[in-house]
Amino acid sequence: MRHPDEQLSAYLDGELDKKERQKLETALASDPDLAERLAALEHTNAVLKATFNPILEEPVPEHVLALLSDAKQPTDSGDVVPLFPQKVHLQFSKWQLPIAASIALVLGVGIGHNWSPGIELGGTLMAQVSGTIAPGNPLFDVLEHTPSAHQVSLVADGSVQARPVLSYQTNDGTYCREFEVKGPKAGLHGIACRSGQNWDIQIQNQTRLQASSGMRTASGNTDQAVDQFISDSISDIPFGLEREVELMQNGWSQ
Amino acid sequence: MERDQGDLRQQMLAALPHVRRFAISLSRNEADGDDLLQTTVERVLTRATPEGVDMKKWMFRICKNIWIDEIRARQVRSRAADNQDITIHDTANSEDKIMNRLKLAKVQMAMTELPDEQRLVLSLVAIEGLSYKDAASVLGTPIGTVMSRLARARKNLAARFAPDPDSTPFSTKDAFRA
Repeated sequence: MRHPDEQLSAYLDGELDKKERQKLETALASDPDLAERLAALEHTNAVLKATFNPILEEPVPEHVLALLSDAKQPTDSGDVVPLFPQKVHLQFSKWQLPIAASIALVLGVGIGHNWSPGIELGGTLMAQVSGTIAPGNPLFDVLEHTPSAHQVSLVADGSVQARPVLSYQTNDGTYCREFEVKGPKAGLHGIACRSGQNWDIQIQNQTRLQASSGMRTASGNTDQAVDQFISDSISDIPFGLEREVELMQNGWSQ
Repeated sequence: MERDQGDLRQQMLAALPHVRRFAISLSRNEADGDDLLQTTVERVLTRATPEGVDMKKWMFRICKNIWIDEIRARQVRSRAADNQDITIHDTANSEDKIMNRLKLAKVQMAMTELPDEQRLVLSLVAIEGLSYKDAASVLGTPIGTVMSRLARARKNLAARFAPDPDSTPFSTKDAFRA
């Protein structure tokens, strides 16, 4: 079945109805070319966000604010009334630090299957996708050797898939990668940064998926914190493949 | 009445960072974006605002109209010489900020290559996060048009990020090659 660009683009924006979405996700699971096309569009989205999100944090020019200042309510000094709202701080209630996620897993097993989507991601795998990702961890190989936008299986039966979304360098020179992991009923979306010989998870979001709804895309609102983390830390724009391959050959150290 | 005016101003202030980002995403550089923002605010203040209107979407629409009708016509947005768009203006006072502007300039350059109607819809949906329905309302076009322009915009942008002639338009493998 042919999947036009409009459909992939609408999928990214969460604008497909349930039936269309399920059909496309079924096709994505078995068609690497289609998945690659989607990943390309998603990457473009990620670049736009990483580029333009920081503008929200910049102050609006004073001469524009002055247009909106109420002349009847000057401050004592006669300056422009500081009406500009404070920065929005994201709620991190559904975000856990890696350590907390590990603890949650242990608790979740005892409490029951409804507690944590992470359990359904694939047993012990959830525990492995938290804290420090060391050599030997399946996700380590993905972060270390898989170019962005390429999906690989984390377990032999293919039920858990991982995909780096993009790579970048932070202001202090650290290399970081945004990644997604998708299990049968739950997904993870996070950022890992190279630290020594390991990758440390900086932030991650667990998402319970509705039946067959597939992974939430990077354009979803729940991924704002990941976007903001990248915006706050990225030093330039995300790396292209050429640079990623260089870094992979050098073990992400230079 | 006074209170209503105050409410409107508060709504405008709350929308301002988003309208500014939208204006900058349509412009060749941040200074032109701020000019567009200023004109937008001035026009909103001097025109009657429809009762119960969503201020952010209203400002997007005014901004879009100004961009199309005036800024483009006067070519104000291209006042900067072609190869000196990466101009660090007045308030750039930290290394981070300068880096952000360099990064911004690269992507802005790619976006200015897009047809105007594609840039508009990309800014509203991919950057500002509007639903297709809301974007269609701001742009005064059917939802189907939003969907097709957006798909073309993304495809075009992906192609512009992939300068390698051997790569397909959809390959992000070369995206942002330095």
